[in-house]
Amino acid sequence: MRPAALTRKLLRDVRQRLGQALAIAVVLAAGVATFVMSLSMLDSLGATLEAYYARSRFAHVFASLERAPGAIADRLNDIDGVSVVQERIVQGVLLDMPGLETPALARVVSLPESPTEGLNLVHVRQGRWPAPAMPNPEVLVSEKFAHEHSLRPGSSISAILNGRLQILRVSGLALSPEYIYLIAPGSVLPENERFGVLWMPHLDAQAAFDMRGAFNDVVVRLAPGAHERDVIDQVDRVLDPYGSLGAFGREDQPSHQFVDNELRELRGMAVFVPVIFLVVAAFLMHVVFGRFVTAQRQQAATLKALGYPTRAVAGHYVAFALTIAVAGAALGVGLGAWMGRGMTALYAEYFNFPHFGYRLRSSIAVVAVAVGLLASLVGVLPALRGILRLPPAEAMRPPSPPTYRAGPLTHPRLRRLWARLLGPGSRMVARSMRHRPLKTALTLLTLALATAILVVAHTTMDAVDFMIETTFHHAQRYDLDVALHDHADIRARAEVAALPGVRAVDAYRAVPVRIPHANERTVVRALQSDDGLLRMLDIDGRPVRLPTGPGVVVASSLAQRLGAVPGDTLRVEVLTGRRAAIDLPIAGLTIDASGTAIYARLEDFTQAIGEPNTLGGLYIQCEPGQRSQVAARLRESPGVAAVNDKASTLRSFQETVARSMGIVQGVIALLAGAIAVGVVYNTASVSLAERTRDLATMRVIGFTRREVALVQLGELVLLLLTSLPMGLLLGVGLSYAVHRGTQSDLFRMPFILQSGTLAWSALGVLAAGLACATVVAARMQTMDHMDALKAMD
Amino acid sequence: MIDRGASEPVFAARGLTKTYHVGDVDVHALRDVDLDLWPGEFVVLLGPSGSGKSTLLNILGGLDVPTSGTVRSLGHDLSSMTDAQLTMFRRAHVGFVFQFYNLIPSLTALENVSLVTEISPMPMRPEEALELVGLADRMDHFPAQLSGGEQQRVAIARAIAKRPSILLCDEPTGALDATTGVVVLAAIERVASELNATTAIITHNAAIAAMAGRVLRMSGGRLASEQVHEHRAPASEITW
Repeated sequence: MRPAALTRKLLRDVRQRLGQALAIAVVLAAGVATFVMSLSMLDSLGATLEAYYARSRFAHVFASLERAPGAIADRLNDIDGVSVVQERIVQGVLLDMPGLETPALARVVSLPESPTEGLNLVHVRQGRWPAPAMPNPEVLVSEKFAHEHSLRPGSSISAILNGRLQILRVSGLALSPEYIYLIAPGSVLPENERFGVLWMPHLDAQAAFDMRGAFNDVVVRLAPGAHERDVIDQVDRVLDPYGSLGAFGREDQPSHQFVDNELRELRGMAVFVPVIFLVVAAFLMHVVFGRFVTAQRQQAATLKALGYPTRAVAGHYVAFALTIAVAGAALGVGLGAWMGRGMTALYAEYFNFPHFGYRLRSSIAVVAVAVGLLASLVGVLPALRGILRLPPAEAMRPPSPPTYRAGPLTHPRLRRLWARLLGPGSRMVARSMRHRPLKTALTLLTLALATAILVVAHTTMDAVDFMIETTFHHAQRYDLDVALHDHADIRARAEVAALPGVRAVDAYRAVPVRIPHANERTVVRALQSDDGLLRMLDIDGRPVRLPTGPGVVVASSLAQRLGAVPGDTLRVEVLTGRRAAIDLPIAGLTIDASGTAIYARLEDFTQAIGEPNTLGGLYIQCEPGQRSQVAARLRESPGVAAVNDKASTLRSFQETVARSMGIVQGVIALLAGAIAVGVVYNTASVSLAERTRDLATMRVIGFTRREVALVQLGELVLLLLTSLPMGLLLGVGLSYAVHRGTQSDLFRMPFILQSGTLAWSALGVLAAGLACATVVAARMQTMDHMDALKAMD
Repeated sequence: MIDRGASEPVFAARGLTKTYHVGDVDVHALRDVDLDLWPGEFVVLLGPSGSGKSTLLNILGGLDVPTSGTVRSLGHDLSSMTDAQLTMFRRAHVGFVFQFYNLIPSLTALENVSLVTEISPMPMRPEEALELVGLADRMDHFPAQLSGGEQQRVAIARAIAKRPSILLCDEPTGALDATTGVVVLAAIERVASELNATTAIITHNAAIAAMAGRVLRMSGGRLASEQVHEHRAPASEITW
C-alpha cells in the first residue's frame, strides 16, 4: 500500500518538474508514435492491398502473346491449379491529347460484359460501364490519366487504333488492381500524363484490332494451394506456339512490383526511426532523472530515516519515472494512431486504392508501450542504484564536494603548465566530462546519432542526384526515344537523320528475353553504336564499350542477382520471332537505373538470334530548340509507334521518386533537428543546474556574465565538436546499411558520398546545438548569483 | 595601520535601506544605515540571523544594490553602478570568503586560486597566496581531498590573491569546529595585516569580536552599537 503522503509528494514532484517531465514524455511519445504509426500503417496498407486484390479477384499469373484462337483458353483452364482464366485483348495505342507535343501512349484492355465478371475487376469511380457496339466506341479511362487531361464521362478522345484514327467516348473513370501504378511498357516509372489505360468492351476491342475469335493476353487466378511456378511452366507450354512473351507471376507484374517496393522502403523506415527516438528518450530519462535523484538525496534519506524501507523509497522514485513514461507512451500511442490513420489515407490516395481501412492491432500498441516503458526504465535504473545504496545518516549532511581526479599528466609541473595553457574554464569543463564518462559518452552518442541521421538523409538524396546526372545526362545523350512499328528497315535511320533539326541518330532494337535458370524476364537492348547517344557507364562514370563479336554488357544489379561476373556466359531465350536460345558471354558490367538491362551490338546480336538486321527504335539528338518540331514531325510518320521525350521522363522521375524521397528527407532532417535540440537543451539545462553554485561563485569573485557563460557553453561546444566526427562516421555506416537495405529490383543506386553532405550534416547539428546554447545563455543572464549561492540542494 | 581622518574612508555608506518583497510581505533588511570603513581597518559585524548583516556585506561588496541610500568606495558610487561595472569593481578590489567555502570542486587548490589571479590586474602568484595561508604542500589537492579548515584556507587564499583593498568574510568559521576555526581566523588576520586590506567579518559568534579593532552590532536592520577596541586580541587567543 502506498502512503497517501508519498503519493502527494510524487504528484507535486512531477508538477514541479513539469517542463522537464514534458520534454522526456514528448521524446518518448515521438518514439512510440513513430513505432505505432509505421507499423500500423504498414499493417493497414498490407491488409488494404490484400483486401483490394481479393475483392477485385486480382490474377496470379499473367501472359501476353501475339495471337491465339479462343479455344486455347479452354486448354489453359484445364491446367492443374488454375481456377479462373480470362482471355483478353490488350493493345498499345497512341492518343492525340490536346496540350501534349507528342502523342500519349495508352493501353487498351478488353472488358467482359459485366463489371462482376472475370478477373482484375475494374472499379468504376465515376460514370458507368461502357456499352458495346456504339458508333463511337465507349471506354473507361484510368483515373489518374483522366485527371491529368481533365477527362470526364462524356469527353471524347482521338485514338489511333490499328492505324485508323477513331473517336472514343469516355463512359467513366476507373481503377484496377492491375494498374495501381501506371507504368508504360519499357519504362520503370509511372508517367500519369503520358500513359493511360482504356478499358473497352471485348466486342469493340475484337473489332478494332481484328481479333475476332482470338485473344492476345491472358490472366489466370490460381486455385488455393496451387504451385505458381508449375502453372507458369504449363501456361508457357500451351502459349509458346502463339508468340507468348512468357508467363509471369505477381512479383514481376510492374504495378505490383512498384507497390511492393514502396512498402519495402517504408518498412526500412519503420524500424530505423523509432529505435533512434527510443534510445534518445532513454538517455534523456537517464540525465534528467539522475539530476532529480541527486537533488532529492536529502529527502530520500529523510524518508529512510523516518522508517520507510529502501524498497518503498526506490518504488517511489520508479513511480515518478513511470508516471512520466506512461504519460509519454499513452500520448505516443494516440499520436501514432492519429498519424498512422493520416499516413494510411495519404498512401491509399497515392496508391489509388478505392477503399482503405486503418487498423491498429492491439499487439502493436502493447509492444510499443512496453518498449517505451522499457527504454525509460533502462534510463532510470543507474540513478536508482544510488538511492538504494544511500545510508540515511550520510544524506542528512550536505553533499561533500564530488571527487575529481587530475588527468593523465602525473607530474605536478607538467600538469600546471598544461593547466595554465587551458585556463580555468576549460579545466572545469574537461574534468567534469571526465568525471562522468558514461554520461559524457551517452551525450556524445546521441549527438552523433543526430548528425548520422542527417548524413543518411543527405546520402539518399545524393544517390538520387547522382542517378539523375548519370542516367539522364551522361548515359542518355539523346532527346527523343522513338519506337518504330514492327521492324523497320535499317534505312529508316538515314531518313530520320535527314530531317531538319535532327543532329544525330542512333538505331537500336529492344528484344524481350527470358533467362531460364533464374526465371528472369528482361530486355536485350541491341545498339548500333556503343559510344553514341546511349552509353553504358561503370560505377565511376567511365564509358563501358561493347566488345566486337557476341559479348554483352549487363546491368551490374542484374549480374549480382544472377550471381554472374564478366567472363561468365548467360543463356537467354528470345521471346519474339524465331525464339532462339543463345549463350551470351558477359564482357562487362554497367550501372543502370532500371538495373535489369542487357546491352549488345545490334549487328552481332541479330545475327546471333538468326534474324534480319532490322530496327526497333531510334535515339535522336536534336539541334537546340528543335525538339518539339522534330517530335511533332515524327508523330505524323506512319512508321512511328511512340515518341518518348526524355525531358518528360525526367520530369516524371522528379515528380515521383525524387519528390517522395524529398519528403522523407525532410522528415528525417526534422527528426535529427529535434533530437539535437532535445539532447543539447537537456544536457545544457541539467549541467547548468548542477553547476549553478560554481558559476555563481565565479560571478561573485569577479567573473563577468560573458566569461561565466563561456565556461558553461564551452562544454556544449566541446561536446558538439567531439560528437561531429563520430556522427559523420556513424552516418556513413548507417547510410551504407540503409543503402543496402533499400536496394530493390527496380531501383539500384550506387553508394554515393559527397564531402558537401558531411559538411551540411555537421553544420545542421552545430546550428541546432548553438541555437540551444543561445537559449541557455539567455537563461544564465537572468540568473541571480546571490540566490544561486544561497540555494543549497 | 588604521588611518582614520587622514584620508578618505574605503566605504562611506549613507542612509542605506534595503527592502525585499517576499511573497506578499515586505522585509526591511536594512533601515537607514550610515557607516564608514577606513583603510586597513579590521571590523567585526555582530548580530543574530536576520539582523541585516549579510545584506550590508553584500551591498558593500557590490553583490547587491540598496533600495535607497548611497555607498561610495574608492572613488566609485556603488549604488548607481551597472551590473558590469559592479563585476569589474569586485574583480579589482574585493575578496570574498564564504561560510561554505564555495570552491570549484573540479579545480585543484592551486587552480581555484588561479581562477582569480588570471583575471585580476595585479595579483600575487597563486603559490604565494597558498603559502600565506599555510597550504604550500596541498596545492595540487582537489577540494574533496581537503578538510573543511583547509578548504576555507584555500578560499581565503583565493580571496586575497588579487591583493584586494577590501576583504569581506561571511561567517568564515560557521561550518568549522573551534580549533579549525581559530586556524582560519589566524590566516585571515595574517593576510589582512600583510596586505593592509580593510577587513570585515560578519558572524554571530561574539568571541570573534575580540580580534576586531571595531565591533559593530546590528539588530533589526539598523546599526545598534559601535565599540572600539584599543587592543586587538590575536586570533590564537580566541576560544569558544
